[in-house]
Amino acid sequence: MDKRATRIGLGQRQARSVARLSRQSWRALASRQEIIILACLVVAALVIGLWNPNFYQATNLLNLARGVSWFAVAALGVSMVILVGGIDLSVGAVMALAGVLCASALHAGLPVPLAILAGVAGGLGVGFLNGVLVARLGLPPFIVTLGTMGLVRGVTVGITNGAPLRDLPPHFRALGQHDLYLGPLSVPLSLVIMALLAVLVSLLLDRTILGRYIYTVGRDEQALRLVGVPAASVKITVYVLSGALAACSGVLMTAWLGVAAPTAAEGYELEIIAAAVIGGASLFGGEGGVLGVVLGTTLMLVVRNGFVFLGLPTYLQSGAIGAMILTVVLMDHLWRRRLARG
Amino acid sequence: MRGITLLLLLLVVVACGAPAAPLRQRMTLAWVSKSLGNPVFDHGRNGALARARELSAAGPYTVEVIATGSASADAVEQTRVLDDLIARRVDGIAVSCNDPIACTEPINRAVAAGIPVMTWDSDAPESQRFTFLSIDNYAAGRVAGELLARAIDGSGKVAVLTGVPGALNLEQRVRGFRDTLAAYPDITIVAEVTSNEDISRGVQGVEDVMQAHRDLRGWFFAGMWPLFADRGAMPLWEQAARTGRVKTVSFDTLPFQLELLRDGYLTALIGQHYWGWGYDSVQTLYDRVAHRTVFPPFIDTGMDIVTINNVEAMIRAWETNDFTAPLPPP
Amino acid sequence: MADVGNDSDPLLYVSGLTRTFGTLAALSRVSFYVHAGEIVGLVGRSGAGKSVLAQILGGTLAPSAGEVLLDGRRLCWPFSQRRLGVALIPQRTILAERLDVTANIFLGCERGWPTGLGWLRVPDRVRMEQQAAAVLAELEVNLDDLRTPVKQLTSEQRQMIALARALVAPARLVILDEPGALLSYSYQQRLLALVRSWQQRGTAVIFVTGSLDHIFAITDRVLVLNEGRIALDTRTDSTTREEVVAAQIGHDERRQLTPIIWALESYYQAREQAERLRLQQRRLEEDLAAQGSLNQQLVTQLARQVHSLDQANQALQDAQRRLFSQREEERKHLARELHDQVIQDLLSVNFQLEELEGAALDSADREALAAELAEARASVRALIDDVRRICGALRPPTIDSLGLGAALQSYARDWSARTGIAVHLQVGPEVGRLPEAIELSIFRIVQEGLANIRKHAQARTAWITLAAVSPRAVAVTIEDDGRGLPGHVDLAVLARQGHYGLLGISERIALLQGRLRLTNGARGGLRIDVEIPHPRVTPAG
Repeated sequence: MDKRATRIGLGQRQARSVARLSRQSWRALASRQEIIILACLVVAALVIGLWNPNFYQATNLLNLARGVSWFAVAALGVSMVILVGGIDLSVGAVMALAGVLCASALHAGLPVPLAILAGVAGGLGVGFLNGVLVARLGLPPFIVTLGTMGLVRGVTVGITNGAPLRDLPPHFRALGQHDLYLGPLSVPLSLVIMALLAVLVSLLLDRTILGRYIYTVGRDEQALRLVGVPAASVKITVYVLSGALAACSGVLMTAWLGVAAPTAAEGYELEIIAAAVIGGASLFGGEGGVLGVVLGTTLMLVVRNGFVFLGLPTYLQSGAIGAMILTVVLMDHLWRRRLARG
Repeated sequence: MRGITLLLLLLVVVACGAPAAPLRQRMTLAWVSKSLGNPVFDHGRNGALARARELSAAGPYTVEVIATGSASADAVEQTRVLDDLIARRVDGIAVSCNDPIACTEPINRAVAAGIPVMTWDSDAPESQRFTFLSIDNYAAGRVAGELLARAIDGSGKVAVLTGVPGALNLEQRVRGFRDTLAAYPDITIVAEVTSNEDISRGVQGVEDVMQAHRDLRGWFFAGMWPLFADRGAMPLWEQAARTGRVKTVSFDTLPFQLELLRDGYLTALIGQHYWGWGYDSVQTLYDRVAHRTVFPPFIDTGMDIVTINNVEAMIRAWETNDFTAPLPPP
Repeated sequence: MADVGNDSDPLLYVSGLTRTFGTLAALSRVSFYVHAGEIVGLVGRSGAGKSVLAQILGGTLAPSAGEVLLDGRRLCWPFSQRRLGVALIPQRTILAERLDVTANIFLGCERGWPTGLGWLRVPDRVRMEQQAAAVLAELEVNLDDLRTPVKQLTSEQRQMIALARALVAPARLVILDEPGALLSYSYQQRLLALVRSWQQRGTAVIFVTGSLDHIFAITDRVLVLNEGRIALDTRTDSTTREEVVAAQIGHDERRQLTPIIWALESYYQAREQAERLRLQQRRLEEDLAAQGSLNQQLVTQLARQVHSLDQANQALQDAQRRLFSQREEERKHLARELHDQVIQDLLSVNFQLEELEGAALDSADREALAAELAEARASVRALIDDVRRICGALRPPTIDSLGLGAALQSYARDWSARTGIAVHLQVGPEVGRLPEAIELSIFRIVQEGLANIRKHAQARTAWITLAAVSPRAVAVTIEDDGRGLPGHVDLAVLARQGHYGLLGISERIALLQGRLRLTNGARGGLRIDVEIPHPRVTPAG
């Protein structure tokens, strides 16, 4: 018995060292979309920079980084929802709600951390509502989040009577406007916050049991059901996280602009979903990573920025972003088909 | 919330007023704005309500104004709002159209149902509305062009920020602006960015252009969207504006814009008579419904031109909420 | 063992369980109970409701009516199997395709730290991999890498992963839904051993299977479902294959059943398989990407199955023909033996007696007469021996009187003396009396095995062992130190060459639903492993 056990052990050790190579190449294949996005990013930056060298100026890079930061935070949440095979159309409305809640709390004299908590709590609530409706009652996520989008927008307008809230305290605005000086490098504070949240989400997805379930529930919900893991709870958790991240994004946006408008972030949900999809999240669930989402967001903002630098009419932007989504989905599809054949 | 107070008010009116004046005729007028979020529309609404109070006091009608609109600047939602008003059989509608084409059908439906409709601020020229009350946007655009050209001494690069592509009033402003600058061969318009009437989009657009064109001399904001953002959101523009490197002419004369003008960030503001949007619209509708008065297809409200010379007077007007006194010359 | 827990409360108590799909009742008012440490076999035709019942008990499907008590606690659907100590190993294992082997084995009961954080724990990969490796070694599953994504595994390996799940988290109730369908013979044996070890640990096992062999090999009780109702609920010892099959089919057709019973059984198995394939195909149609290649695979698999069914049919016909001719051969042989020996000897005794008669009439030579008589008596005695030998060859008399062990012993001794090849016979003490037909068949198998050794092996020693592998199966091995097999053995080839020895053995085994394995043994020669199931025999009876 002992002898056999050691034989198996040895065999495994050998096999594992062989398999490590193949696993690496498998990993490389899986992250191919991220590589494609990175390549697109480099090409776009080169083209725009050649046309207008101002693109590379530190002020522009800071400007870009600030734009990417809050946008990517919302995209992280949506990408998790996409990972479990759902969709969240309420993010834009939640961003506005969180901004307005946070600003109202500040106006009411609450300290900044509590005000931020108030904003995030709003996002958590909406996420929980979305999650329960989708996972427990089995309603289609598209319809549910479309409904909560309208509901939340209405509530937000109601809270403010339609008027934007201005005159926010400067140390709250610092959250979105200030830069940190890391040696010679100045980095927007909001980008640091985004990186922190991205690392947290990445740890959650790759290093915890919940992360495993999230990756599994999108494609193999049956497998989870079979062993009695409550798939509904996994989904609810993800919608709650998406709501919370959208709220964080809304708070960051509000801090940056210094104004919380109830009409803010209108229509952003589609761009945020687009950023997640460009970054590699498959709308069929089960795929996508944090790095891809951040890269996808960056690419989208660089392209939008590039339109101004290249002197192209801005109304072509949405067309270009649509074309980008189609291209990425098409490439993803073709690559997958080739994988399936090979 | 406003709806609830209105409802309560109505209840009070019904409870107290009904037995006192049973024979008084009611006139319900609807005043529809582009969206509920914009403070300038709040001013218009206040004007509308004020005129309704005055008219009610003068008799013989009890004039009630329903001030409503879509939550956001959305053409489809606005169509729904109009259809609801038709269903409620209001006596007259004054509307500011989000989209000239999308607005045409519901306006015609209202007219067919016997409800007179006028437009204000943003028109639907193809519809059967009986008049359009507004600033002359084209003329205002021309004035903006003239002001900016003078501010930058007739040469340099300038950029334009507009809202949603397709909004008629914004297009007219920009056209007026461009037509004026065409007379200045040394001025080139290097960029026209859209903000989608969204604050963060506007901010991003302004900063992008500031970055791409370091030698920019002037800006024309066809709306005040980016200026909503607090200081610190547009570092490049703020720096250039404060040092006078970039001159900016913007539409609208809201208090925070006046402050920016006073602090030297802005060169000139072109103000509309927001108060008049409501006040004059209700008067026009009232005349139409009560006296069947015939109006020309366009009623010019005139415009306020605010520069550093008369900004204090305008600030005072906002503080006292009294816009009746004429502004000193710019 | 069979009486474990019968006097205590049942572990699982099912009452009035009903499940309808639209107007169709998949289960109607099913009631039964299972004790701890009991193995309950669940059989029925496809569509009888076996899988529905398994899914309900596994917590993945809610019943329309009725209740289930586990350890006295009422179950609410859906429940977490792993928390309640229930393990369902489904017919088609659904694995999380993106996860690796270890993650799949531990899915739903991951080990991780820090404890108390629930889903936010970090999976302890090392510990889980060690445990997974140990469990897989216990199951003798050889996987190259525990980090292989499971989509690269064979269906058999996937099924073993599902089994491993039940091993890493101890279960009180294991439900196996046709687990053998995808497993090879050796894994099936391992599965049966596993079920037995569960039983010894006091785990209750519900074993859904289409194989009557498995049912009669290990279960304590058998439940038969027919059209959603319990058609039979009985102790395995007190029933027969015929009764179980009859209950599956229903009572109307019972009269015509007995003669065609085996054909029917295999017919239903084939139909079940076809059903499964159809299901698989439907699932595959959904999976557009894999459709093309896997459809092709399915078609070839079907074709191969049809082909092998044809072959089996052909083989059966051949076997029957051969049995007829063998019987004729034996008759001929018997006639020749009787003619050449007994009749000749009787004739010669007759001659002697005739001579004796003449001598007695005309001679008074008493001494010569006495001598003649003695000679005649000797002839008669030899004759009796001859006849006895013929009888013995036809039917070993010792079997009836002394049992299989003694009969084999005496035959081995005779054979050894006749051929000069040493025979080591070992009969396990636990082998008691078996049904007559089986004892006789085993005797014949040994006989033919030894004949085969004499004819082909050039061996000096032969080993024969007879042992009980379970209360319902007996194993026979015949091994020699001779030439062994030249390479791969193909019974069809042997048959074509006219070597009927091994073929005869295989046919006898097939008739008894047993299993045969031919290998080259450790001692160099051929090793014949035979396992024959039989109804449970009460020991010392």
